[in-house]
Amino acid sequence: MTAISLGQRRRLPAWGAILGALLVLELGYFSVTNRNFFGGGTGMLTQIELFIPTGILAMGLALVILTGNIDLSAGAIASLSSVVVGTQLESGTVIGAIVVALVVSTVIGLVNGLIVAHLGIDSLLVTLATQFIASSLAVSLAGDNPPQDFASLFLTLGRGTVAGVPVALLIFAVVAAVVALLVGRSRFGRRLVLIGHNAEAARYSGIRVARTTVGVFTVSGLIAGIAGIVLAAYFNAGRSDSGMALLLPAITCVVLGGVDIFGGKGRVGEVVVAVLLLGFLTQGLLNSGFSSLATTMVTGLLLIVALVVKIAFEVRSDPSVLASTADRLRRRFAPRRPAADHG
Amino acid sequence: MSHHLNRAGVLAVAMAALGLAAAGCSSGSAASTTTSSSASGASAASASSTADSPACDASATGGGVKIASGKPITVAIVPKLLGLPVFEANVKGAKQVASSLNVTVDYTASVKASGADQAQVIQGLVNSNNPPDVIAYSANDPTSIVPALQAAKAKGIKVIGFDSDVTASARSYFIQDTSYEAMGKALIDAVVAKNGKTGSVAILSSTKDATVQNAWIDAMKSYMSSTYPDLKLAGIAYGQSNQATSQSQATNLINSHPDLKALIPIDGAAVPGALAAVKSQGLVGKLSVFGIGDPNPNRQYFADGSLTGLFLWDEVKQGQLIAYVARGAADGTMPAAVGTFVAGDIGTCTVGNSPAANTIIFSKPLEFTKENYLKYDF
Repeated sequence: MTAISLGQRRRLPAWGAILGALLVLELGYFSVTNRNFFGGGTGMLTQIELFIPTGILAMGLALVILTGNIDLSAGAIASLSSVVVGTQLESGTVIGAIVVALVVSTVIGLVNGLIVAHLGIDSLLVTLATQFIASSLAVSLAGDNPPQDFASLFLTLGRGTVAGVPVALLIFAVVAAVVALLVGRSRFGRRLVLIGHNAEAARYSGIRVARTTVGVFTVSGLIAGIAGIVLAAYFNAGRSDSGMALLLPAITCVVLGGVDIFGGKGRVGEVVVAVLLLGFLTQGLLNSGFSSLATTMVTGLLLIVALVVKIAFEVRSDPSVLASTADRLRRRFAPRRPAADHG
Repeated sequence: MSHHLNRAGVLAVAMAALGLAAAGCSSGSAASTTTSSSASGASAASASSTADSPACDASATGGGVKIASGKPITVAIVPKLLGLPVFEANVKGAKQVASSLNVTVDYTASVKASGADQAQVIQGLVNSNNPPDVIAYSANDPTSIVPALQAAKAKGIKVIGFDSDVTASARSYFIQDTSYEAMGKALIDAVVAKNGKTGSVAILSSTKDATVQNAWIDAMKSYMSSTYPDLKLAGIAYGQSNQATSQSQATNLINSHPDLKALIPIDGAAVPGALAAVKSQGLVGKLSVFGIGDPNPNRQYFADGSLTGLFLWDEVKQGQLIAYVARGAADGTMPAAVGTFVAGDIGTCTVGNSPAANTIIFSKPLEFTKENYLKYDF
């Protein structure tokens, strides 16, 4: 068993630097080649408006993935939240609608956490199930005529600007800052990383694994709810299919941001850089006349190259990338179920 | 050892399921695009109060503005997604008349049938160094691309829609495939011609909130109750724009209504789904199927006789109309509603305000039969 030291989280400071350098390069390139990209500085910020809900979702997913779990329901929760806030806006106040949507999202996150932590079912399966439940709820709630055309005060959350900075981007910044503080500066954050690193060891060292796990999923639900509200405000409509499309890009951001998909390693700041990197890359390539096909292909290539480079960095002492990956898989799968072998 | 395998297996199954769920939207609405799928005019629902304008008519001698060539322009056609035969047919049609109109056609779209992806593509066109003069969209859903279209408008790009609309305020003109009433009437008339004025029928639609499909359902319902009161609607099921789901939903309809005379699948995935159900229940020849869809995916069913009738419109000609309307919109020569214009061989078309503002109804429903389906390639 590997020795546990939280210092390991800081093993690869270069990763954030690499991502940051790529981001600067990318922004520079697009600003020079595309005359509509820079827009006096703030104009550039609106380029990633469409990507912001994905980025918000990625913050919650980063927490979950750090614990070695996964939350496949996050996208569906965002959809549900957008529909709930939409239907509530038809009858109630803006604040009331937002509160109801966030409560619903948080409760689903809580349920995810309770089932994963207390029934010991793999988060992949639990959240796959709640994903279906949340989408079905969203579809039935949206009905024949999904809610749309909201009050302008609410729309500010999606498309308004403060001094040229999109409000949605500010929301993303606040969520990212809170999550970063949570992971980097709180005991809750240290616990969740330790659980991701080695749940057994965390348990033996007196960490209440279940409670922390429940907390992480609950926060992920809440953040997915926020993403759904921004979605509804940006598109001026609550749609039952709007959030699902965010899930895989959000997971991509988390992984590109250097978070170990098996948990225990990663930094929120780097995920934020990855979100900006991917968001600007997608829109920048499209602006430059690349087709959507080329754009998705570049995203895929970037992800693979990034992961290979990262693993190569981490295992310089190991004989090969393949061997170390196999070893990581073994460690991921082996310790979870120590007993009975039912062949 | 087996733990590893189990777990890996579970992971694989779960990811596959996730993939399916995700594809549910994309491949699903891909298949349904032929019939405007889950999208289209938000205002379509409130349509039926006023009569629709007449469809484009080559034999009409009305006249009105004749759309003619002018200075070179670029038209970006942005359908729901890339690579779908019906949209390829649209683009083919637009290119047929492009040179005579001095139009350059730029065909681009997202890989998935996703509203958000489509919005990014449109935003990319708006921000590019050489933005097009006109953007012609077919929207994945009524709302997702509205902000991007507004950005285009703000830049002076003319915005027109075809097949699937958004809120009318976000675009200048919309080319509606066919009149909802006419389509509903055509389907029910076909059922009555085959099975008589009595009995029960069932409808297989895409999703509950698919605006165009709902408009067709409403049209069928009101035409049935006004003209054929003894024809009963036994039920409506939703195949979620997915062929497998459509098949199981159709099987449910068939089994829960043993006296069913006809099944009416009204989206691109529902047609093959319904036909597969009819075949597997051994009801070919006993239960007729009249649908809305494109002929190419259904060739085998025409050949074996299980598909009794299929309706759509000529996608290639519709593509030609896109080029004409784009030319007119760019030059500002399109008439105000209600007015007419002449679009080459397509004839005289009307800009009307029903079902939504500045709507051009392209065609009467076109019926594909065992005899004529080979003439069309989409």
